[in-house]
Amino acid sequence: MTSESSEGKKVTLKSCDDVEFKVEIPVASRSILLKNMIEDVGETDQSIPLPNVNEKVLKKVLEWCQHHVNDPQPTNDDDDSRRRNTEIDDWDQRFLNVEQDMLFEIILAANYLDIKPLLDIGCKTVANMIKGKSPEEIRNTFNIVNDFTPEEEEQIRKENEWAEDR
Amino acid sequence: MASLVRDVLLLIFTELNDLDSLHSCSLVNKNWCQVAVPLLWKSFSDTYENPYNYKRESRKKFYNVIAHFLPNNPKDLLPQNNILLPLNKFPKEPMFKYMDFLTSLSTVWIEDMAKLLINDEVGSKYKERILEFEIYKLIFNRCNNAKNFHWYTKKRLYRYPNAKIFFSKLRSLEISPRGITSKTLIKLGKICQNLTNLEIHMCDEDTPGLASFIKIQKKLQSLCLEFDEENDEVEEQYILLGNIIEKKAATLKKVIIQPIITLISPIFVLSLKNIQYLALSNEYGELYENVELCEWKRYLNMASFPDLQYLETTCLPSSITCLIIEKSGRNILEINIHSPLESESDNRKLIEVISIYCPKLIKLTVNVDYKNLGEMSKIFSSCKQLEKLFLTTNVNILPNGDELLRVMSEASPMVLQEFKFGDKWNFSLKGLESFFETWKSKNRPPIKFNHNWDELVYSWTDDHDKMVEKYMKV
Repeated sequence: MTSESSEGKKVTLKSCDDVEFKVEIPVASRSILLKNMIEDVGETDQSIPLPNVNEKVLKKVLEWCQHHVNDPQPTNDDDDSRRRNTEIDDWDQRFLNVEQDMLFEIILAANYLDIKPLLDIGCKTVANMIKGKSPEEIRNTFNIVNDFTPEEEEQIRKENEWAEDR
Repeated sequence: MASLVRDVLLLIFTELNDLDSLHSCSLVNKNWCQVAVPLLWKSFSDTYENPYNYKRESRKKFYNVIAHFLPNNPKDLLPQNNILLPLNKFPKEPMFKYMDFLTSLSTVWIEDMAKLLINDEVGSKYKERILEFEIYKLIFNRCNNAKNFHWYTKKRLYRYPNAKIFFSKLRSLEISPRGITSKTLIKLGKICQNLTNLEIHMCDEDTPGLASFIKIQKKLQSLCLEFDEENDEVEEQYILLGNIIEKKAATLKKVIIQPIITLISPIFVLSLKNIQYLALSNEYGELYENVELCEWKRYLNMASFPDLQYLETTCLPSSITCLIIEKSGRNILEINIHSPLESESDNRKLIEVISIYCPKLIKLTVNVDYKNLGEMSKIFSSCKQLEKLFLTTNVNILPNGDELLRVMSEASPMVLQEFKFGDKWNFSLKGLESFFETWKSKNRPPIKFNHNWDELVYSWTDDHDKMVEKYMKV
């Protein structure tokens, strides 16, 4: 369905906590998952359930889709070049300047809904938080528990010791 | 905290693009380790072409991990020859099947591994040969995901156990006819036919083996042909190579020929219908328009490159670069022109051709004659997507940088974000300040200034750097 023919028409999305959002089809179609569903099902009054996304996160994701509604759709064959070339613009940087839990929820929702550009900038944002940090600093940043046994940690350290001081 | 699934972790780690961070990730917890370690090894193998860029101790540690996978039962070849590896055995078996993660392999580091692990013992040459044999066997048997292979040895590797399957799965091969003979290439061609990328370095002979090896490739899309610049004996064209490239040209998307393009007949350009990436360097060829270059012009005039996106030329007459651009389908995204052979009028024509035929241009490296600074406005107004500009100059009269800055601040597209220039460009502090003030008054995003040092000219000073810094902060 082209954005021209679907302009003005809306689709209802239902979050996992049962909140409904009426969304213009071109906005919802930033998600490849929803785009395909809308194309397959055709016009319907029934809401589309999104069991993996709650109201708060869906609202945020739809805000991104609305802002980027006129961006060209990424093609399947340029995954690598798109990721390499994606620089996070100012609006997106502000958009992703959220609590860490929310950032991760947005990334997971982008992954589930198949919104590649949002997934890319989310991953890039987390990658920037990792760069230059020690394992301990990373654990502190993301509140991760070290579940290695001392023997396992020693072994994995030995096996990759070559990467430490090249 | 929401737990990130492994698919997403993989995407995040792929964005890291640096080994130190990946190494840190591998030590965070078990989940991160499972995702980071394969990527760490893959990333390293992709870049580990020259072992001598790395510290000896680090290389030894890397090879020591690989040595854990070599056969070391008492009856195996290595222990039988008193080669007892690994030198530092881990308390337990390795936690990963590391050989699965190596995607790019080179005979150079395999030789280095044998040398370092044998460690100059008595009879070391013999032992090194045995160890090398075992490493090749291991690689051909266990590196199931290897896609790239750099072949710089005279060894007839096609005869090794499992070589047939290994080479049949390869996608990219780098060779030098100096090491690999014509006969070897004919034999290799029988088991290695699925390459998409072939790079031939230090090519100094037009052999039937090389031609037949290229001919037999079923999926070749990318060909790099680097002639040996030190070989003074070769003056005549490589007929066999030229013929086979002509036959393959229709499927090629990427072609690199350097540093003498006239060693190949240009007739193949007529068939480059699908070319997307073209790099031609005549750095070691004749630096004037000779008969062979005129022949190139003749064929370029009849060619067309509708899908061309990347063009790089080095030491070529601008007339040739112009022809390629004119024959493109106006889809060029990046042009890099190094050390062009041109007069002021040739340069003006080139600037005009770029402005007419490259509406989608994003990155441009070009020489600008001091008399043609005003002409740059044509590029600025036509190439609306130009983000990065690198201006060089090869004239003795230093170009007036202030004039260029004036043109740039008035006419450059809004998306221009990086300006790089050689030190021969002469910017006054006043001109620079005026440029930044105009830039700022137009509410344009900050532009990155990069200057390339020139060993003879030092027109860019610390004060210039301070000025740039001051405005970058604003």
